[in-house]
Amino acid sequence: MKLRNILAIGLTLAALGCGSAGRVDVDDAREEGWGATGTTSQDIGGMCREMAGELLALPAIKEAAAPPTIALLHMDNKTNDYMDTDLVLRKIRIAMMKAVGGKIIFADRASYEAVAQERKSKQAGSVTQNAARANDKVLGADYFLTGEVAAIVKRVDKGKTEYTVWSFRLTDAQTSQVLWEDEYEFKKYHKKGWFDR
Amino acid sequence: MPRALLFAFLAVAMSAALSGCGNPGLEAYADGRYQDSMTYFEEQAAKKDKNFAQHSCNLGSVAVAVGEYDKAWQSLYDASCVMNDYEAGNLRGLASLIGSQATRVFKGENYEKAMANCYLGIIDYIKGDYEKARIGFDRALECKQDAPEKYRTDFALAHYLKGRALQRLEGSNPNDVQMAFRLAKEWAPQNRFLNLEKNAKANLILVVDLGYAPRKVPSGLWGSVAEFEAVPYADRVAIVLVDGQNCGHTARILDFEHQALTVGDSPTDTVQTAKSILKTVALIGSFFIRDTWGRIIVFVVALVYPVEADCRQWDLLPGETQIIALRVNEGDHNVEVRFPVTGSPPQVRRVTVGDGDRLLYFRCGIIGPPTNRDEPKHEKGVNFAAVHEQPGDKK
Repeated sequence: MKLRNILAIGLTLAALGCGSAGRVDVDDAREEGWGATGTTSQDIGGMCREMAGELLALPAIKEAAAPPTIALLHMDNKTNDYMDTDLVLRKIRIAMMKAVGGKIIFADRASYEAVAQERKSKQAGSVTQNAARANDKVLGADYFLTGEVAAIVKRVDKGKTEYTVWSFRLTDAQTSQVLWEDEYEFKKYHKKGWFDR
Repeated sequence: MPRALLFAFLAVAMSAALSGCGNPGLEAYADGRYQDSMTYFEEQAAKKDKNFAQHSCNLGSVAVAVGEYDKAWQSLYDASCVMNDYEAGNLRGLASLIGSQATRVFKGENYEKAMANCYLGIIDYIKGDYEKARIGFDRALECKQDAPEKYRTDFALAHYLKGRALQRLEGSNPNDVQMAFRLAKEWAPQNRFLNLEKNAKANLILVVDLGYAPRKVPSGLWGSVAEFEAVPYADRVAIVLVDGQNCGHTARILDFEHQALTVGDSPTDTVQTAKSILKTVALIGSFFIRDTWGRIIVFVVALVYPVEADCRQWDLLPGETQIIALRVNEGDHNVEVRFPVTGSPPQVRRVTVGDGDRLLYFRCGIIGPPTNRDEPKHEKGVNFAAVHEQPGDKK
């Protein structure tokens, strides 16, 4: 073997062996989700648009004489991923508001306690009040929008498979009848690097 | 320069380059300077280099031991994301197959990944968020899927705490609760706190970490393969007192020596062995090269070729985890944990038990102010009664 070749191999090995600096894309790792098989922002975006479209096509909403009121409830997270499931409901609400404007009214249940406190302060006279709205009541919901997300995870030697199902339902707040229910599912596979095994 | 002198110089230089140095974060931890320790690990983690997850795990260990739960959760979560990301550091992983194994991004062994997630669950349980706690324990169990098949369900602590979290979550499937307790009992048969019915009544759970996990040491030809070496520690049990009354001792639920010894083989071990053989062959072969400079260069390159095993690990991982489950009346209580063998300083928590249950975490060996602190308060009441143990009960 030529001396130059030996030197080149030696230098290459030394360079590979001694490297220690350099950043790891930690933020990217977090963005990708748990093991890169969880729900991503693209999944949420597509799912929300689809669900909003289906809800708006429901006769109970589309053909309602007066704009129906929908309240968002909590979504259960039964996956192994830390995620804000309520964010998905909020995104569906935003998509529906953009699509139909005033044809649907949304009741903000997250602010219920703050609203109740403010009304109490107004009635006590400790804060000002618009006289024309003095008799307005807190909105009651016609429908509840809720759901859950669940996943089945399998880890094998070569990688990981995750089957995720997001299910949503619209429940009549007066009768508890489930008016609509649908699910959005996806299966993802992520292969391990050989040196990660 | 005589050739022998040149070789000796190169050998000394290589040894100096490869030798490790003291870790200020660990030294500060050992001295009881926990803020200094956390600051060091935070600074190191902020570099976001290949050791990010290792520093973040150590930071999480210190933070959870001194009650800085938010900091502990965030650092352990960040570590967990990298440890479980198959993409992170792919190029470095590839380089580690040829060059030094320590070039790769630290992702830990399956039990280290599992414990990072288990701590996430413990912290959420401490805060009373059972839904998030369940996620942490399930993630821990998922990490163990990377272990040899026989040992995939052996992380009894996660099974037990998952079972408890499910007991407190509305709408949980009773079969899931039973399965969690059954698996916990299967892997910790000697533990007397794993009864499902008694746990439904117990409202004060103590999780106590003792000692340190086995150390990785270089072994084999040129130290190319990592082996585990037990770290001796004296305290194998903790005594628990509630309001001054002896409630008995904790019981082991997780043994990290077992975890380390059952971690399984990795294809990278084969690569490391092959590299060490290549190095030996090159060293011996260099003496058969006729050209003097060729001989020197091959010898030097072979000598500095890094084949030593990657012995990085979660330094502050405990040697074992123990639990005790008690039933106490609603109200304020002083919970004291004593370590009878070494006389390590007793640790006291003032805790208010309300409607729900409380989980307290203790780490043996913590000295100074964090040993005596308040847990967040809820409601008031009196007295206590043990479910699993009677006052005065001893091992």
